[in-house]
Amino acid sequence: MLTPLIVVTILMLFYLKNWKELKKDKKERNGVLFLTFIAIGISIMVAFDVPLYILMKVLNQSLGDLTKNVIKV
Amino acid sequence: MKQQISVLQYACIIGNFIFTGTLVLIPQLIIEISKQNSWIVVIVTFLFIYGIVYFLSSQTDRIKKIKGVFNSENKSWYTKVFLTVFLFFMLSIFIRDLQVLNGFIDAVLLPKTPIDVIAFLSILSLTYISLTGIEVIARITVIHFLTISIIIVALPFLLLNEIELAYLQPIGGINFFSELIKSVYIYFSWIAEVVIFIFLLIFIEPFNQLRKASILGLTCGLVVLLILMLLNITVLGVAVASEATYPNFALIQQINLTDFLDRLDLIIVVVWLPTMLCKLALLLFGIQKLLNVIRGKDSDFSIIPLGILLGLTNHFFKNNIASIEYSFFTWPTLGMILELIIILGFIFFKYFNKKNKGKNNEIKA
Repeated sequence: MLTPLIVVTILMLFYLKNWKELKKDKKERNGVLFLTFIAIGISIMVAFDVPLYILMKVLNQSLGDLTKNVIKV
Repeated sequence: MKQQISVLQYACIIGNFIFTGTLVLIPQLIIEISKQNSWIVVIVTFLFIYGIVYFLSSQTDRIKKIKGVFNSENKSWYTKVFLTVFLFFMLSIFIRDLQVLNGFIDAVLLPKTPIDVIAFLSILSLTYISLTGIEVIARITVIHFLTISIIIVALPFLLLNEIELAYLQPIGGINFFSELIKSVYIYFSWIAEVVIFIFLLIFIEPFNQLRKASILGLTCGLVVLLILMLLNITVLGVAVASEATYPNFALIQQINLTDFLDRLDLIIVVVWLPTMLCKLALLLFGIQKLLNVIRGKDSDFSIIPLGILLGLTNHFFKNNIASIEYSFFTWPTLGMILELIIILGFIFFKYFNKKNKGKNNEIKA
């Protein structure tokens, strides 16, 4: 649970400091909130050991294998 | 306020960008494939890249109109595609290099510290540097790149008692050309990261010295990488260098000047780490700027959540071996595809696109 704890703490400090400015601009606030929700979502997935490495595994098994075939390693 | 960087700063950023990530892992694979001829790979790859950069940075009056591409005004679909590819290119390098940096610190320097803690400390430093803007990033890069360059130029003297020139022989060999082509294929995408200059050209002043600055930056990168490759072969030998995970770290561990100066390797690593942070800070700055351009909003607020989000990407790799496999095998193909798209896009905007003419205002940095 270390990862979500660090993420939430840093983001909470960020919002405490910048909330007044963010309240003024709706488009900016939505963008920041979007990134925040993704960050918290990923950190929760990390805490529950969801295999996030699937994407890189797919890349390693497709483009990586292509390179291996080119250089014959 | 418009931010500008000088020719020297631009050259140092380019040199640092291609040198600092390349030296960590990739020499091992290059030496494994090309053996004692690996130093020729560096020269041949750089000759290709010199040609590309020389062609791309010619006719500065035409390039000026490309500045409009990085403006957050209404954009055509092909401009958005180009910017998205550029964003993906920067993201891929950032994710790879952050993992390389964290993996190195975790494996060599702080093996008992959780990698998440290392990742977040790195990302907080990066966010802080990126928030200050391109001018500060450029100044920090100049200081650290010049320091590490001086150390690398001095390395042959520090390792004089360990150098065996016989390890460079025989030059050539039966499979020389096939090994050379394979190694250039691997090395190309690492050095072609120099296409980042397309993003940086909106900041350079005086603009008409773009080509000179790009060539100067490439030459700095070539000199330091060539020295390191030659030393890897002549000091460690092909057998050791092709087996070591971090051959350049193994190289600087061979410095043995006196009995009391036997841990110079740590000092050199401490000088290298900030150069890597400079590269990552530039990438984080670039990613945030490109996101701003794509969504049509110029602001610095999103950099902290964005940094935290990117800090979590170290979980995209199952372990250090997966990240090494990504650097060795996935990046050469993925990088080459992205870099070729960017180069073609740049040529399109330079020679064929009339729409951005006259819209050459810089983005507000």
